[in-house]
Amino acid sequence: MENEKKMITLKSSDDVTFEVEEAVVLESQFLSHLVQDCPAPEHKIKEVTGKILSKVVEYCEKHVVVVVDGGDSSSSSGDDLKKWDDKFIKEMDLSTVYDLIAAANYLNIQALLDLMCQRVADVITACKDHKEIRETLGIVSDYTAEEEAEVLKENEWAFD
Amino acid sequence: MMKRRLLLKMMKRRRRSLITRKVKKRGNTIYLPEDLLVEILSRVPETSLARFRSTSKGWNALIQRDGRLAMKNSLFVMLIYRKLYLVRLNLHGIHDNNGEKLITQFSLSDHLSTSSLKEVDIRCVFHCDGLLLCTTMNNRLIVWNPCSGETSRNIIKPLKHYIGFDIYALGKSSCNNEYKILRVIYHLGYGYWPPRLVEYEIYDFTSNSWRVVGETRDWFIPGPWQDGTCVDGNTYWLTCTYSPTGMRNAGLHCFDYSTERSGRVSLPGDPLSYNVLSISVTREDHKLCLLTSSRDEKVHEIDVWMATKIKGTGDMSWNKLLTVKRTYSQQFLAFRSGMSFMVDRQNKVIVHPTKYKKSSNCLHIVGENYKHIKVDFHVVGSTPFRSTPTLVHIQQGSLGVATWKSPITKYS
Repeated sequence: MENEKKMITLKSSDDVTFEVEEAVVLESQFLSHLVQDCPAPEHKIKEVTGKILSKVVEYCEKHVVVVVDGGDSSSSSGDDLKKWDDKFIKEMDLSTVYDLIAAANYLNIQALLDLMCQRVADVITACKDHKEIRETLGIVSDYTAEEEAEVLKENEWAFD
Repeated sequence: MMKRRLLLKMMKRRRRSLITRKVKKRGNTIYLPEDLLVEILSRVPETSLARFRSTSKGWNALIQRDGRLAMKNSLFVMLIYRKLYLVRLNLHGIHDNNGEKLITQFSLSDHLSTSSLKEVDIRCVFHCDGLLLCTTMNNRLIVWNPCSGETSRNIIKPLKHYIGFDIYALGKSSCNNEYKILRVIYHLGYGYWPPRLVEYEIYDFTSNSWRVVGETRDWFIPGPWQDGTCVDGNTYWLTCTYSPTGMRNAGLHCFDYSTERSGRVSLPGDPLSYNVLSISVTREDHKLCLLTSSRDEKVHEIDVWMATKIKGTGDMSWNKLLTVKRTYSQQFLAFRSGMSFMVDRQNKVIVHPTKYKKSSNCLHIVGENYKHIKVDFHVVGSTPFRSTPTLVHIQQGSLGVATWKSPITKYS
């Protein structure tokens, strides 16, 4: 009844291969152009490592399945997807999140880029002062004591 | 694709922990292109962004130089003589008289009306979390997202038709992030006494129906204070409450959309020592603000208070943000009960719409140091108007967080 699904192989920069359905690849604007323009069975993605590509594939597979199953009329699948996204980002450390931001930007997957950027933004928003932001994001201050006092005074209103 | 890069040293602090991590973290220095850093920072509220500026020179320079971050939270909607205007105002240059402005008129056409091309006249506008609830002169309720241009498609028809006297608000339940419309109906009765009966009803977008959720005779919302203020999805109103002796005092009430109940919230200090003028929010972080004037006629001061929610109790603790002194007698004519305003914490100013001479609508910017800068709206000055415009600040960045289950349509 249903045609056999077309499979595509993606190869990471460190030569880890992932066999995925074409529909999954189409989640990425970059890859869908690549697949259309060059109909090879295997595509090497030099910019993305195997560790990160596995996360990207995991995300795209989840998102493509839900859309096919539920269609856009079902709202419960939307809620489930949100829960899945929450779990997906919670299991990740920040350095993986940064790598995924770069990968989502390169592969042009807007929803993943939005999700990951929001994750970092939420981490920053949760910090109560500049010291906590430094600690969380590992930023080393290059201010002199005077410069820091000045910039703190300028932004005094933001510290309650 | 890879543009200028900003080097960020993401030094992972060594934690003195007994548990040794099995997985060793990959390099601790991270590179992200500047446009991606801006992508992240544009989702951070302005308060956190201001704190961020104190972390390092590189971050401070990035935040200051990027126009997208500077123009953040500068979107306002003004209701001037039944029409809506979208105003983008850059308040960062106001102290040098350089506040930029950009105005677009929005004609909201009613696709449900028989004459579909007819532009709708707006009676009131209410803001919650990036969405606007408009009540129209032809007694309709339209929910509108001014950033995307989407409007509600369902006919939102109240149970009984007394739309002209009713009070409406848009809110969001904190348990499931769903929007709801609140309708407060008050029965006029005979005179001011005995207490009026106030009823409230909720509209649910999922079921497209209204239901009565409560009633009270303990308080009511007087005319000038009928525009509620949305904070964290809940609606706040200044109210008139009855004391046991029959006196009527100013109060503050909050309607919680998750419990669907209203409760009284404390006002700052001794409420008998000042006159309550109006409530609104801060521009940067949408915190509840209160404007009061002294009851002592010799003290010509307007105080701006900001509320912070006390964890656990749900009540408010108030801090005085700003005091504006009157310099000449006519100056505060625009400061009246129920006035529409916005507090800018960073620039320490109040922004409020006002009338200026006969023909123009102005935004008046009042600061601590007697700064009064008029941002004139010549573009819309030609329309005749009777009432002072309403100013509503659009909190960007929160869009799309909540569930919007009602079918929506794009207006052209």
